[in-house]
Amino acid sequence: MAVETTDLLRDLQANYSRAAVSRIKYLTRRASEEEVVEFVNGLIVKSAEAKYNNSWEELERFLEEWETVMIGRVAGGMKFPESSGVPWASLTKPIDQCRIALVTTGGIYTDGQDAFEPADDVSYREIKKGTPQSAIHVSHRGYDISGPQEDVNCVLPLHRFDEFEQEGVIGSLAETAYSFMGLIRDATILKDSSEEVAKKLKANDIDAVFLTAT
Amino acid sequence: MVASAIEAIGIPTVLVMMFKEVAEAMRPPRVAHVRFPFGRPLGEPGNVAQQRVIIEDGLNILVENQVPGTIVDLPYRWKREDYEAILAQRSKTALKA
Repeated sequence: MAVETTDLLRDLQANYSRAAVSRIKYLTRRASEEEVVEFVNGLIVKSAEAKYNNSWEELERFLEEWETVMIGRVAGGMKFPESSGVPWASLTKPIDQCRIALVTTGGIYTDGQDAFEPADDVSYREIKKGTPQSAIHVSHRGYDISGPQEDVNCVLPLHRFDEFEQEGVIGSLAETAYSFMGLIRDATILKDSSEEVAKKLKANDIDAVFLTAT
Repeated sequence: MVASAIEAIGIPTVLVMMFKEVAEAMRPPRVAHVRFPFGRPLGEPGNVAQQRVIIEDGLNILVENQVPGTIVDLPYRWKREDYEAILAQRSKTALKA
């Protein structure tokens, strides 16, 4: 029986968009044939041992090691802005007095707004406080968007922060959240629109910003 | 990129993300790193307790972290934590304080 090693992982490629394989999927594009063989052999042995010993921790560690190596290779192929130090601002008041704004790169948009381009789209969408789940849409080819399509709070926590405001955990949630779409190969092209959003936040007296990347 | 632009204008930020290698290259001011599937930075859809735990940790980093560019590794193992119990434990601690 002759099997091409790359065929071994074909189903993983077919399942590319599922959240559970989102960290290991890079094996299909980033591993050599020798590594694929090593991975599959290791997977068989570790799975069998896990079942035999009723202990899944070794299998989990095995998967995490491979995820880490492959994700590292993906990052190695990306372009980042030249580092010029880390900017820093300090909180000026306690969290329960802060006006907090939300920002995400999860590709969220709402009824009446345009979807994002498939890649390298530097535009952003303004998401109003109180937007119900039924008005939320997502366009992002880099991850399994079924999460925020079902519950936006796993990416953009609009409703969790509404609750925090009502409970007095934070001072208030800003009227507007901002969503970018993070599938951008060269992060430097985001400079202008990032600065535009920063100015809007400043003009609205925002005390702190909670961001998520997907 | 976005976090740094906001911080540069004078507003403190915290960023929850899964892609640690990108955080290490971009060096945003404050990062909470979670080992969750891509596209689920705050947890599973519909898991309110899990989302609250991650958000609270993010807010704590905003308050407590004073070292620019620090990445805090959050310890949670996706579905295999009792997030309700973690929240309950926290409210008990808060009451004591």
